[in-house]
Amino acid sequence: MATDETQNLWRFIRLDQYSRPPETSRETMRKGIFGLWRYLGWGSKIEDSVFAEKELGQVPPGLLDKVVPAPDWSAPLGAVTAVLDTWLDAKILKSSAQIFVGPPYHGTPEILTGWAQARGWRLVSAPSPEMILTGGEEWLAQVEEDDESLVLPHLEHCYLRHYNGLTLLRRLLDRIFSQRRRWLVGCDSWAWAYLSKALKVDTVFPTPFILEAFDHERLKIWFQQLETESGESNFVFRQSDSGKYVLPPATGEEASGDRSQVFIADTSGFLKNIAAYSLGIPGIAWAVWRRSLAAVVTAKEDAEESDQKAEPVEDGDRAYPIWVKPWSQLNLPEFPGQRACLELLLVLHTLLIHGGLWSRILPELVPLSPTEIMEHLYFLEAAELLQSDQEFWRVSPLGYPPLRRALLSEGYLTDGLG
Amino acid sequence: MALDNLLPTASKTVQIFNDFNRIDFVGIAEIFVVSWVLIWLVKHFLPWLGNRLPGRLRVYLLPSVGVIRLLILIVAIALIVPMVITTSVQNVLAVLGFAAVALGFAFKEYISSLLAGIVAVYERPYRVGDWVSVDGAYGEIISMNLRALRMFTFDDTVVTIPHIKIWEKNIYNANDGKRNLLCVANFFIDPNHDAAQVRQKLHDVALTSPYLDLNHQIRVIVQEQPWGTHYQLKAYPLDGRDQFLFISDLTVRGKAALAKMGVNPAQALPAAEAQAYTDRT
Repeated sequence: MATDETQNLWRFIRLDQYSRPPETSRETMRKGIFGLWRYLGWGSKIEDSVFAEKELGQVPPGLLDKVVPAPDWSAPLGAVTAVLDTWLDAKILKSSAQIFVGPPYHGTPEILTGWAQARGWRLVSAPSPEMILTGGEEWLAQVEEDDESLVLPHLEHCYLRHYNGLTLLRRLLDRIFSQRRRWLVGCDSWAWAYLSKALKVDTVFPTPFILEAFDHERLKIWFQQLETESGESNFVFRQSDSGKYVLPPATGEEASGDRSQVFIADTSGFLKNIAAYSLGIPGIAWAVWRRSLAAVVTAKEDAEESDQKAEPVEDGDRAYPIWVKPWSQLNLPEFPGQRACLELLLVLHTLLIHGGLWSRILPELVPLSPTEIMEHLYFLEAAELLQSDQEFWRVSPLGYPPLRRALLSEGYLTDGLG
Repeated sequence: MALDNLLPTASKTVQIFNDFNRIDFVGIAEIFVVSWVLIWLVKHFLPWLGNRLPGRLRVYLLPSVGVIRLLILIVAIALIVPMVITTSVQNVLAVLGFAAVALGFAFKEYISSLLAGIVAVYERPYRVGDWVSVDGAYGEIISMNLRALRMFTFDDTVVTIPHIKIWEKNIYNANDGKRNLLCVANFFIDPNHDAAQVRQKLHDVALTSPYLDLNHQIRVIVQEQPWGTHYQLKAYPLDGRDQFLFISDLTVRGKAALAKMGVNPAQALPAAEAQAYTDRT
């Protein structure tokens, strides 16, 4: 895919310019009616989703990884440099630090890490929770020398919402803005919102940058790029009920030799729904896209049988259709409204404002026993709303949208990104 | 003959009420039943719905219960009265006068509470969902009936308070229709300590509470007393219903923080001071 298209795909803007893709009016109505139904406790139970997941696992994992491989976060590096050009070249700095903010699964830490490695800037890894609670003097020693430029991708992991958990961050901010070297800082948007209220960090940093939201057009380009990167690009994505294209094959001059121009039939609004549901966050859209492909796929034998239905192609190539379940039938996790309680919401909000936490530190941050905390964590994991990796717990990509809605409706502090 | 004109005749008296045979008792019963059903639904369904909706919607929905019930009652009375009495100015005045004399003596207190209830709906010194202190009882108002309100205290007690209290007592309303209210955690500390450090630490204790509403300011008020130093940590929780959990969280973590700093609690308060503090709180 052309470099120009890649550069337009990834663009950083100022945080106050950010807006997420709007929801379709049809989806708003559907969600409003059925959402209220589920919130009042008349929705499906958690156990139903487990069975549904087993039934929907029809796309072989190897094929799924070819069709939708993991995102390549090196693609946006040029976009980072583009917005930092003036700051990087300045002889006299207005601010020694620039900050990039992003919601969960936005790719911001991965992008900054890749940028640091490409530019030769030193990466600063976050302290452990135990270091934070004891003041972190030994951790701060690594940033005492005012020489090389530094990149700190996870500011949200440099504090804890504990009466002893803010000291290290306060000292770190003192060092950042008293030193003459350049700092590039990444921060989760929820942590940014909390720290802006608690420590007024938004008054010391310049206006943050944020990756522009992915609307359906951007998603179309990105999903097509992902498919092309795998080297196997003979798939056509069509909605199983209407037959409309969900992701038309690439067309135009930049098409590779193996991709042929295909007539463009009606396109479904599936990608609009993904863009709205994922709140413009590429990592979440990626997860939803993979989940939607888990519905139905035609085997190679089926494709051969329906040659007469294949789109007209050049050079004898065949495009294998992959059928995508309609949006209303996608089995996405829902927040168990009626079974939610204050403690559950406290645990969720704590995980979000810290960008994920180890289970061993949660008892220090929420007024619950370790047993109660683990019960809530396992309950939410069973509902696909959380995921864990060696006892590090965070919100799952598919769980993030419903959890965000639930916390917003209960009046909890959110990241303010729409 | 002059005397005859002064005395009401039987036929004149009966004309105040409709003919017995022409009174639509079935219609009256229907209105009564429908009104009762509607009031029952409003009284039970709206609070049930309010407790299941997000907190921000709850504070708008619950106060409307009393208003809707009053409206239903007014409409029902307005429909029934013309069915029973012949609606003329003289008849209405006669009936009202009779009712006033009879009921006023017999149900003076009840009528007074009813009127106070109507005034409460209009003036809103309290509403459903408010946390109020009346006559020594503090709790959340769960319903407002015609004569009295019902309050649920933090020790799971339901207190019924006649509306007549608003004529006689002060009503202390902690949140006045809003979702959150100010909470205060008190600390009594030995005077030998660094007050600036303690104040900052208590501020951080509140700042890092999971129940805290960050949209309101945290204040730490310090008062020196003969027996030690009194700190009042004032902050707002996200939801007024969490106030006791919030105060408990502030107190537990505040004590832990102060203990780690090596700060000692105040020695026993003089009996008079302790009693005065208890009376205030």
